[in-house]
Amino acid sequence: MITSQTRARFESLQQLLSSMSSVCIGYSGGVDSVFLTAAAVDVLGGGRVVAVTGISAAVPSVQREVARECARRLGVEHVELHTAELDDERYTANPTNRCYFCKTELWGRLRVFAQQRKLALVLDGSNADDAHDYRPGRQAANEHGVRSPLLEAGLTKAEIRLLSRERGLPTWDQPAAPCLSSRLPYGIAVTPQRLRQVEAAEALLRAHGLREFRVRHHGDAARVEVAPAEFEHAFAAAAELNAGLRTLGFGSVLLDVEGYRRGALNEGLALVQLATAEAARE
Amino acid sequence: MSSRDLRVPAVCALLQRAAIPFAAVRTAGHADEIAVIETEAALLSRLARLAPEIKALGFRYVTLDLGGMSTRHA
Repeated sequence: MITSQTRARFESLQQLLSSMSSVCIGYSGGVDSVFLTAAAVDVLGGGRVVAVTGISAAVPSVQREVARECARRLGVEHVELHTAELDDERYTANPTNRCYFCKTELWGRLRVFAQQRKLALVLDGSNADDAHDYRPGRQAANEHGVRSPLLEAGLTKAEIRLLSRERGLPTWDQPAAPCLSSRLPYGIAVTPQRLRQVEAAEALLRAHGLREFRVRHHGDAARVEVAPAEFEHAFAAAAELNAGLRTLGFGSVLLDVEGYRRGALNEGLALVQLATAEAARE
Repeated sequence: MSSRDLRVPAVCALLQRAAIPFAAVRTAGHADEIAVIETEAALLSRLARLAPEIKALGFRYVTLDLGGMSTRHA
């Protein structure tokens, strides 16, 4: 249910947007950036909004298609920009602040694009809940002067989903869709081959009707996280999933008993940082 | 035998105390951070409840081997 507090926060968002002359939105096609783009188009009109998606091997193809389709439905100009974070060794080393280097690349390119197109501001879809999670990419956004209207308005993810559903956006119940590099444990190099492996593995799970999951790349092993509500579904397809992921090059296919949970690779982060430092010294 | 190797028999002992039948326990991952248990799918919820204790033995993740898991489930 949409509360009066949520309405007030939405009005605050609209007021923020109305103060902007034109915007370039970092648009992934996820719940937040689609909602922000829709709100911006409603307030500013399509002529003053450009949605820009960064494209690289770390972006799942399925997410790219969602971004395109949603932009088409919103009637907003949609641009895809190639980003080169995989050419940056600081990124491919996959440190715990990997996202800082990715977002530095992304926001750097969007700033240049915005200047070329004479768009006044660059926006991102960060929301109020993001302030409580480990988000090294936020530093890059701050350094590039990126505004976060959803965060500034105090809108939470849950509120954004409710308002998205009210607005008729198809992304209102879309699961989170982070980049494919998030499937690799910190300290394990991000390579195009590993990214292709996890993308193909997740496509296989999707083809079997699973909806909320991650395939984590642990070298020879694929550790599969499935939402607990979908465990029975995963069991029923166990033989096919095991065989299918093995053909992708994984030696073993493992089901995490605790199920899918966001930020699982951040669990025990202090210990991970220590282990990464120790490995670097070897 | 290194301290890391003692984790597997410790997990086996834990499973036996919990009366959870299993075929094998091994490790996986770049740093052997994953505990891999071969048992029936129907026992997953019981394993999930034991996960904190298994992790306390030195693992980051607790998993079922899909290849070694019976497709019979409750």
